[in-house]
Amino acid sequence: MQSGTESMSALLTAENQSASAFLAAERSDTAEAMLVTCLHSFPYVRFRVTGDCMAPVLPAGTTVTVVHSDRKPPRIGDIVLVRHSGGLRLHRLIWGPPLVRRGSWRTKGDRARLWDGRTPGDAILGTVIAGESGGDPGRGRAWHTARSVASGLVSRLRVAAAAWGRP
Amino acid sequence: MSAPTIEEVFARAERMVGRKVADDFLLVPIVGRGADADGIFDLNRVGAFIWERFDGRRDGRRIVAALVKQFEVDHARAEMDYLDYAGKLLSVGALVRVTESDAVRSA
Repeated sequence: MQSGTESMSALLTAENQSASAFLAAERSDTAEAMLVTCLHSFPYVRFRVTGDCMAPVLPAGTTVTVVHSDRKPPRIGDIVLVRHSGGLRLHRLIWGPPLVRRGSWRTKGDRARLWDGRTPGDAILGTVIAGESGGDPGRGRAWHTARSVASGLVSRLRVAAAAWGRP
Repeated sequence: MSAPTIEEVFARAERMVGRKVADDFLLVPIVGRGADADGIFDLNRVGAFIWERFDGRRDGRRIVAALVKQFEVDHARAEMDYLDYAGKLLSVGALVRVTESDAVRSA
């Protein structure tokens, strides 16, 4: 036992912290540490999806099962748990293995207009292997991947065209 | 479910495991063989201190005595908070009551 006494302020609060809240909240460092620890410690981790950026495949409220990316290496089309500057996201991998192994990978929310920023492969923390409550990460995988790539390209072209036309 | 009493002995439920993450101590519920991250509890220092003492042998009196020794708190407050905390953990299935027969079996 440690010597001395300690202040007992904020005593005995057991806070229920949902991963979904962590994912959406500012405590992204804690969320990441928590999820990485769980992904390393357990065969899989389940948590609820917040936000509709992956609907209709994974609508808000869907419980997903995620495994560490070492257990199921992500491939293009997979929905992955990825660390971005804005925090953790469940987005689709649209550029990465098997087409490229090194360098930058790209992810995108199915309903987002733009691709996410470039990300190193080790920022992919886990791969979604199952969804419940109506979500199925494998459903329409090829279609959603192709659509994500296409819409991302269109958005980039629009941005480029706007820049070209600017005086 | 009845409220915990100071005479009772509690043990950590098998469906809940503790993990230290950076400065936090997390209680992670187990679903099948995996972790349910939506049911995670984030314990403070005192919560973790008590959690580690729910070993199926120590009753509430011993744990409260340890609390009073370790932290700046009077006995009455420590006991009240201990019972509140044990009640919360019981309600979410993180603790199980240890009966005398359980204790005899494990001896």
